[in-house]
Amino acid sequence: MSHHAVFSLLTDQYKVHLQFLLGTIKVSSSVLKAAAHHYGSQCDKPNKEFMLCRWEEKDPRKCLEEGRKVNECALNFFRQIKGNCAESFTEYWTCLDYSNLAELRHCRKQQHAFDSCVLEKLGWERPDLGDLSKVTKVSTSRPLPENPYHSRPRPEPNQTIEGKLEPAKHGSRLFFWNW
Amino acid sequence: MFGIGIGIMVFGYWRLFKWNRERRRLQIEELEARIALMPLLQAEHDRRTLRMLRENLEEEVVIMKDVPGWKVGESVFHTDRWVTPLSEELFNLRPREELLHKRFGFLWYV
Repeated sequence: MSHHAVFSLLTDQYKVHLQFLLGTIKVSSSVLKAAAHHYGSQCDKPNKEFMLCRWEEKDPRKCLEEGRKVNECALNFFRQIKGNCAESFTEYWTCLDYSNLAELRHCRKQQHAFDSCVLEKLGWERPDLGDLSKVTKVSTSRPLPENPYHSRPRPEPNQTIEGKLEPAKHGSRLFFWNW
Repeated sequence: MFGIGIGIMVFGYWRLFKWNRERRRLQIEELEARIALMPLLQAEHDRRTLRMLRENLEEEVVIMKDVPGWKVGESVFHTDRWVTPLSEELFNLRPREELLHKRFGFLWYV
């Protein structure tokens, strides 16, 4: 039956993702923003690989493995924070949560407390301004996909015109002009 | 007199430029927080999209069981690359409230 055949084809595509119905990170936005700078420097490698995969393949189905690694790294990151520096981190993100736009400049005191706690317990340094937006080179074992847009083969270019070309009779014939 | 006035103005401009540079540094810091978090958010968004597409596919099998000549999950495009689904397509079988949350839930303006 034709529709069963198509369905089984699609299940191959989708069954990969069923393995990855992992626990999502159930935290709110101010928690994420509070930890963002340290997260960017700690979980840098899987993040960059995932973004490279996503941007090259232009297909989320092909990048589920890297996405799983991103999720794992994030979970480990938050587990480490919870295990070691929970109180200062809680104070920091509650302070951020208090303001409307979660501006980082209102919470410098708690940020210093959290940074020093993380530095002495886990050895993480907060990246300097501009470090996270630097362009990096990522090395992966995944080959570069050719034709990620699945374009059809390009048509032949126009052949060279042989023979003598003569100017048009009656001029250019562009709307009203005849020269 | 003019000297005092112009002096005050120049001093004001200098303070303004300094504060603008400081604001730019703060804005860079906030944007960097967003840059750092993008892989996490993108991965979760991808998983959610694929999950919703899968659920829609299963519903489609159930609903269009008796329609003759219907290919389940057939793409409406002639290509076989990934086409980002529209929110209307994803939230088709869910209550309308969820679609409105997705489209209009986060607005900077009123």
